[in-house]
Amino acid sequence: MANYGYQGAYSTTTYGNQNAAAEGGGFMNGSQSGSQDSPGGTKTYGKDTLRPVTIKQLIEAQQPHPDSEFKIDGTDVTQITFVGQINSISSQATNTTYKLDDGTGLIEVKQWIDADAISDPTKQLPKEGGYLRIWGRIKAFNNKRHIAVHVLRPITNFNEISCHLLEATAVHLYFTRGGPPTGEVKAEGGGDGGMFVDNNGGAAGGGSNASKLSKMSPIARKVYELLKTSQQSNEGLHVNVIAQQLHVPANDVYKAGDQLLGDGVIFTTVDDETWAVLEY
Amino acid sequence: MADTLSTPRILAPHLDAFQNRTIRLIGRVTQLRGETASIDAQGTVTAILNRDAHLSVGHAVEIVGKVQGDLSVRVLQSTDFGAERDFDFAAAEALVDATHRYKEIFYSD
Repeated sequence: MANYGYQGAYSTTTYGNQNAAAEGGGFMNGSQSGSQDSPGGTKTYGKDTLRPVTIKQLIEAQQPHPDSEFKIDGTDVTQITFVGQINSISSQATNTTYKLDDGTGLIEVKQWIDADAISDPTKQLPKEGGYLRIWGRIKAFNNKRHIAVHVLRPITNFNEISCHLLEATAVHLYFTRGGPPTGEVKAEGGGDGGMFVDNNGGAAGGGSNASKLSKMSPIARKVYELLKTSQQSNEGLHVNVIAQQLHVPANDVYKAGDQLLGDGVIFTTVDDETWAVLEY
Repeated sequence: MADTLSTPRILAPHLDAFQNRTIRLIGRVTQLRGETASIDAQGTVTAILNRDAHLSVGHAVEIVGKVQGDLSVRVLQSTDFGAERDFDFAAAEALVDATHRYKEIFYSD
């Protein structure tokens, strides 16, 4: 299954086919918690990531076109991981289907049976009412959504459930509100813990623009950061230049620009597509 | 529209707001009295047990149940989460807080 990233130049490899029962997870190269990336650094858009999610997020994931990658919070998801309590188990000739519930929704999870695998009699078999940790991918089949499992294992330490759901929240907030503002990262101690720090509080000292930025999408912040820091004439930068320097599609830059223009932190100069930072 | 499939995570102080709804509650089992049990989840909750409930005093338990008019919880499903000392209640309580703060990824309504 090829994963077509935003950048055509990337050749992205996904490992394994989804039908292997005991397939290991793919190649992880995401920067979900990489809030300390330098602005304008290479963001690994379109590459395989492993994202912790809730079942509600899986049910509500958007698929822009059939066969395209699913999107959660506007970001492509490839591999996902979640936890859930087993509602029912149905064993079929080729696969085992579990219905899992994590309190946020219910989803079907299919594990294909690998005929060549040597069965291990000591292995703990999942039981109804037990909790499972799943690694897999979202699949759509006849308008029905299910998860194709790469790996699953029963949960024995129940703190994993709290941990997972909090992690899913942190990642959700990272994608919707952005990580802690760059430059404030150190003051907040950085790391994952910083995600729960109120962004407005963190940026309060940075003036009105900083507090507006903390509510914007990560890409809008990157565009602002670039406009603010890069060498330029007083005409500012053109959309295409920004897109090139940030390695993102021009479309995304337009959207980011709309947010920034709407909030009055940047303004248009020689034409509608050339922007500069509004300092006051 | 109340989503019947989701079971919001709550604690004792939230019972009032969730009457007649199916919820999920994690607490310590403090007392067993035959048909009912007392669960401590930032306050005492009376759980009306079903036949397959196997609760042990001093253990953490997760209950899926329906909040009754008198704020007791009729148990639909209970899961033993192991001995109290092995379970991080602070994390579970932080999770309840996060689920209500960032509802969009947890519950509809």
